[in-house]
Amino acid sequence: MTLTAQDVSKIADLAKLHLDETQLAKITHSLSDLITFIDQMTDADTQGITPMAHPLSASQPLRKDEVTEIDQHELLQHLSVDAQDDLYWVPAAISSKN
Amino acid sequence: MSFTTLAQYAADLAAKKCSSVEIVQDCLTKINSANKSLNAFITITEEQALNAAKQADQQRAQGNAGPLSGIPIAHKDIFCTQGVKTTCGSKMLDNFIAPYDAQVVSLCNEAGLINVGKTNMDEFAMGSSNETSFYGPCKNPWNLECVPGGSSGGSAAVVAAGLVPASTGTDTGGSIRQPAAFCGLVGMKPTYGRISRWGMIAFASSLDQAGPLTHTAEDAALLLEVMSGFDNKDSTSINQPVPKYSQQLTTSLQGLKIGLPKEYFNNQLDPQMSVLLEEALTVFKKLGAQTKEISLPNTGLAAPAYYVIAPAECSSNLARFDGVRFGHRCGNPTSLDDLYKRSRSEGFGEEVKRRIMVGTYALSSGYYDAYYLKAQKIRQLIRQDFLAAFNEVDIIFAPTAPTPAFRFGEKSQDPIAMYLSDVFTIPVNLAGLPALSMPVGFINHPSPLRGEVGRGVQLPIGGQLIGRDFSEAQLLNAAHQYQLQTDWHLKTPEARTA
Repeated sequence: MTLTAQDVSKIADLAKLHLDETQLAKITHSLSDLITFIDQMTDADTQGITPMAHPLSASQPLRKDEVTEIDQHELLQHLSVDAQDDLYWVPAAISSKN
Repeated sequence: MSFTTLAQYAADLAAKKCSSVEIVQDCLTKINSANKSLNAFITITEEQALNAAKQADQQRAQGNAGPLSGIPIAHKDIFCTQGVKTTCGSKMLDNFIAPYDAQVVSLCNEAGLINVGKTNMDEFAMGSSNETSFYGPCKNPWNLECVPGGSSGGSAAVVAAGLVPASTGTDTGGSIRQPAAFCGLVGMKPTYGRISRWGMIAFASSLDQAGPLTHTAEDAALLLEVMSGFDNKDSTSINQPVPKYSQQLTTSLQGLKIGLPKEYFNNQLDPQMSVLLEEALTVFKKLGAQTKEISLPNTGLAAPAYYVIAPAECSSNLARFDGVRFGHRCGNPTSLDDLYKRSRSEGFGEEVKRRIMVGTYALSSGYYDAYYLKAQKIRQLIRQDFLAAFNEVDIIFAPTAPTPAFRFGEKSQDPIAMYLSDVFTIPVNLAGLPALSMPVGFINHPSPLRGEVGRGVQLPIGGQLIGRDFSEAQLLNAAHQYQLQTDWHLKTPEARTA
């Protein structure tokens, strides 16, 4: 299957990645090759086969709905480039321009 | 170049032949010298290691030390280490100081093992050659023009070069076993769920599993005992007792049935490698084992299915790197979308972006059934192939990789050629089974290396043992019995790292 630059631009947008024109051309080519490679699966007969999500068929263990972690927000916010007043600062998501 | 094993260090410390400070200082001296040419460490934790060694010596003097206390080890830079930079080989995490220890690191610390540094790796464990590391590629101690394998290439190189006796790695599609094969080591990927993934930076959560890299199967058993165990912080951790692997290395191989999958021993395998694998089987037969050809008919579908499942899970896992809470953040973002896109585009390398995009595509509307669901069904077929084979045989023997270590640049421009270097390891991850690679000999590089034409460059080859769920003890015992009869694991690279 061959992907177009337009297809790849859309995928990049969904993946929150910015690609310039050179990168877009290069990755369009390699993604098309990869999709062709994984398309080898298409002809495999998987009728009636149960999809496998966990190798040991283990179920998700549940725990009581109790607080088990201590508050470490100061330690964790210290890892951010822009955290002040107990908040993470980001550009406005909604502004008058939008 | 020489090396000392975990078992030997433990014996020397117990006999008071040396102190932990002496051992750690010796390792640090070698590391500081060799790392300039190997580029195997991203971070060297010299001060912390020496402080921990002093503490270990005090504990031993007080009679409170465990058998491995005071012995140096290196952790792949995918494991969070509290207060120490943890990069996952990526610019994205170049500024990340982990606020807590991974469970593997905690368990090693509790055993008294001393972390001397964090090893180089392919970015976010996505690669088979170490060439995708933001910090530049690690080199293979056996030949500096060759890759050490990946993604745990740094962890393999530091053990092969004799800088530390053992290291930790992770294996999503072969990332412990393939570097172990390329560097002449024992590398084990345990059963999925055997070792906690807590604090191990996620690539593909249904496939990722940690494991040891060592010179000997005995050392692998010692380290696996430390690393394994149930952890309620990892919802995929399996609650099963951990055997004393190091005390189960004396079982005879008489009557052991070894399966040889015909799909792995095909004409694409290097003929020199076929000879060595045959010789390894001869050793097993002399020990009383029997061999039988088996078939794993869906092997050819493993790589295509893997390159849907792993990228799909990676695209989800790596969505957390958004420039907000930790990691790289772009300068002067003009909008939230700009913050996300530029932070991620600047922070991730080419291979990581490629896999995120493949995964995004496979999970996007209209393609889920055709790709992700189809791949999950093929995964089931591959596991069923193995389970059927284990009705006929006890363990499976196969090559670890189709070739020995290749040269830098040989495959880096061709992603699919690179992906196919893991073609013999990927099926095991899809099936969740345990497997190890062990050295079975050396061959000349298939094509001459620069400046070394006619000199017969020798590179190590790995043989892979694959077992049933939780059969780690059986695999380690088989490898140990093999190593009692052979000396491939005792070979060391030329001292080319000074």
